[in-house]
Amino acid sequence: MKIFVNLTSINKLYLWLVQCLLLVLFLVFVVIEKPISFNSNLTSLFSVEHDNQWQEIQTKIESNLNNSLLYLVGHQKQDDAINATKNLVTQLNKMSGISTVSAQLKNIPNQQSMIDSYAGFEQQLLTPTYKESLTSEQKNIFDLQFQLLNQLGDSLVTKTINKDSTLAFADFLNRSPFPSSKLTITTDGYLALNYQNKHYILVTMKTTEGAFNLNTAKGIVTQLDHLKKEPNVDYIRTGALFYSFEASEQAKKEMQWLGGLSILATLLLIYFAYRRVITVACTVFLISISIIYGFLGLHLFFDEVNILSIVFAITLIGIAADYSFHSLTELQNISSTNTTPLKSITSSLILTFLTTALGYLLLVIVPIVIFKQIAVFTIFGLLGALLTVLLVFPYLHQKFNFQNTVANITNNSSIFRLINKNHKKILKHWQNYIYLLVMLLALSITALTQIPFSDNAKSFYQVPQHLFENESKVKNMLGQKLDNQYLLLQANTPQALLENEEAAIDLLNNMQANHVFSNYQAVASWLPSIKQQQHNNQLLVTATAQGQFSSLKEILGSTYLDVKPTQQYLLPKQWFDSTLGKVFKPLWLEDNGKYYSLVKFSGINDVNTLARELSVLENSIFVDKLADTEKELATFRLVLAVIFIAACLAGLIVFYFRYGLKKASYGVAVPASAFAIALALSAIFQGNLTLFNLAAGLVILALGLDYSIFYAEHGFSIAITKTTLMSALSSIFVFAVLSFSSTPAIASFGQTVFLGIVITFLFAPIITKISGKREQHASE
Amino acid sequence: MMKIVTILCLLFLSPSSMHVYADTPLDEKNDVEQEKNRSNNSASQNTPAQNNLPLEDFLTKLKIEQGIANFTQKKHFTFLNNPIVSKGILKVHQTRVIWQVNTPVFSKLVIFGGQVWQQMDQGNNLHSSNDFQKVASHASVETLIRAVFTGEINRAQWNITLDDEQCLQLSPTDLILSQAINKITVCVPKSPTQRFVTLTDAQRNLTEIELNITSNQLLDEDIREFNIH
Repeated sequence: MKIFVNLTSINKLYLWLVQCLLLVLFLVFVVIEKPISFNSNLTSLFSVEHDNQWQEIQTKIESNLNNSLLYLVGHQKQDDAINATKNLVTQLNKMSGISTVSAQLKNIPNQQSMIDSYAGFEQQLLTPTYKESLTSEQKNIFDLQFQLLNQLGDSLVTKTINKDSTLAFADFLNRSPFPSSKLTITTDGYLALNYQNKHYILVTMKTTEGAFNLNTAKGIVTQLDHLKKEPNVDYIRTGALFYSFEASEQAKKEMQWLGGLSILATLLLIYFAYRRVITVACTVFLISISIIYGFLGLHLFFDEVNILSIVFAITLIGIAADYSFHSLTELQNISSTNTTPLKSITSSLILTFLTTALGYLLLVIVPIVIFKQIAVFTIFGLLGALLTVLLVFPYLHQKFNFQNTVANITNNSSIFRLINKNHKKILKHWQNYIYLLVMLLALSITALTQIPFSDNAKSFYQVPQHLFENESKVKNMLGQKLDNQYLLLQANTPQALLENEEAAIDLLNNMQANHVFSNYQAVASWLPSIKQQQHNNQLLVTATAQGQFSSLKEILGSTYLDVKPTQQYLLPKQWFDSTLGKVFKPLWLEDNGKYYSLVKFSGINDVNTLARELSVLENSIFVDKLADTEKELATFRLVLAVIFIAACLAGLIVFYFRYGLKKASYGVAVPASAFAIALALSAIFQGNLTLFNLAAGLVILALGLDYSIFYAEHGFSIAITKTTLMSALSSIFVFAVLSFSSTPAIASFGQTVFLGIVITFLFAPIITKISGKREQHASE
Repeated sequence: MMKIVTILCLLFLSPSSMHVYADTPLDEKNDVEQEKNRSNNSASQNTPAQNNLPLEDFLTKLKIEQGIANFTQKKHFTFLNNPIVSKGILKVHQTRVIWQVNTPVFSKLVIFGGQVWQQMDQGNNLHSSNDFQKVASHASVETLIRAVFTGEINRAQWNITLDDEQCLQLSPTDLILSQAINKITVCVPKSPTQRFVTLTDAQRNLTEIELNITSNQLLDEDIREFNIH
């Protein structure tokens, strides 16, 4: 600490320049070596990095899911829709950032290619229904066989009767490998649908980078916006990329507006208070330096930064500006010949930084990426602000006139005197105000026990209306599509994996019959394991021997051929090369010598039952990103509450050694109570509370402890009233502005901090009435 | 399954003319069909205004609110000497359809909301089970149901013509459908209660369906049957 006092102003400046230069060089090096990328993945924002066997493969699967987007090109005439589609595809193929564009489907599995996919293995494939009809005493296999023969417009029986006369193979193929949808396929292979008297053609594409990479998202959306469109053609588009782009645009807009307004309000406040352009310039400089330090921190610790973290980081402006207020107030009252003008507040500033940094440091423990990023940005930013205040401001004080004119002092002081007078009234009846605080705290705690918490990650951000409408329209147009939840299975060999899937399929079929979901896609329901193929073939051989096919034999006459025992089995490697196998290939993955498969669902009606029933399966995990996030958030808010208590205790310990138990208790109790009251008020305004309301607690505590420190260190005076008022006002500006954010998470955070600061500012001076250490010094 | 829906829907077309097609032996029918195809080809050279007007009129008449019909289905396989014959009832209520085969083996399909549902526990007691399972389909059945009952047949999926004998001829343009169905002919005789549908599949197997409408009204009990959940 002595270095900040003993060095001459110019040496302090040199020291600052050297460390600044080193840091800038370091920043340049880091930017070149490990450039940071910005993303807008709002679901990964809240997720924990699981260090388990599933994490890597899940990341692979999900990165593949979020790079798809689609267009629906519509016209009253199908030919015109197809022509417009062709033009669109030509343009899309020329675009950068798009890896594949698909409109015309090739090699769609048709009946014949599906039959060919099982050539030589036809008598070892049974559906669960066929199996049940063979084995159940209540059922007669002929009923099923007759239904197949009698099925309207069916040609499967004709095509397969000479390969398998038991119709088991026809039954096996009598289903769709695709989830049901409203799409039809034109003769030239376009996926078409009819909606409100228009013909729409589906165009799907994949981007080279994931949708959440903002570096590429903007470029792609801009190119898509500038595509030449045909007149009278309806173009509907959707995909994660558009959400990502809108989120980044919204964040950018908010950063510009909210950040701009905060800075403007802060600067106006400084000018109003100090009436010197140099004070405004110093503050702008300080905020700029702190932002650079903040980004250095982000570059050091993260490869990818979420755009929402940056919006939250606006709060840094308010806190960094506090350092400026404290020092400017001091510099105004000290002669420029004084070589150590900030001597008396150096320890307060350092203590303030330590308590704030400690509070934010605790946020790093929270396993939520966004909080880690906010914490790192703020701690580094404040460090930069502290170093600048202590090392640069003394030099500037010598070179520039910070003194205020007498007239202005009178003007300004009148406001500060007014606040000071009101604070004096509070101090006069300080015990009553303590009772009031205790009463409000008790009421708030009672209210908080009745308020529900919302852990729904989707409610934390607002989806732009037009994107939401587009998605609903596309969903409505396409009909049912695959849900986001999936079952992930793992095994050491392909056969073991198929057997795992078969165990899952037994459960899934039961749940499907109970309408837990509408449909599922699984490899094993189209490719049985060797064990299952053996069993199936044996069932058919036994049923023949038992005469179960005699009724069918009677109808078919000489067409009927007996079942042959099989010696060869269809294997995954061979099947995945077939036309049908290629459809299922994306559900089958190999990673680090292990085999993984996905089971996808459509029309999930009861996700809780599905998750619960599947939990009994070994070597599998049911992935429900949103539900997992909700569970994690519920845990995190408890963690956050514990961290807040820990921060209070840490503050109490630091305060205890400096100010004694009584003062320390009050110094910590005020911001803690302010937080509880602010939470209760926010809950009343919002109807519920979220993690972000809780996160506000650490900021309120950090700022509240600062006020306590300054009152405890310097006592109650107009100068301290001015400093704390300026500090409170700057924070109030910033957080009040944040509460207008269109992102509910940011708005609720801003609102709670705003309310908390107002309350803590109101009650902070009472600490001067509490007896304890440094009382003598404070009264000076 | 979409094919089933199409055929079921077409079975319920409104009467407009008499046709003796169903009474014709199979070989002769093929000849009749070829003749009709020829006449369609020549008709297709007419101006659109000449062709569209009766077709649109015909399609307008397709709109139907409710009714019950008995059907007899004969499925002629190329590899079998005798047709597979089945009998059952068809019920229509607004956009919902029930296709129920009663003999020789019971089966029941309910079509609504763009989905086809099959009764799973199919005993002989017609109302014993209410356990239905959704049947996956290649394409949208909803479009087809809406099309037929509103007269707005999806031209993206079907080529539609009305032949000289007032039979509606549908040939699929949709890739999946065309792999299974070659042509559907819906003939409406003068008798207001009869319909004849023939379906030729890609393997030239022929399915004939004769439909006799027994009621244009549904009882409450019938309507309840459409509510499968």
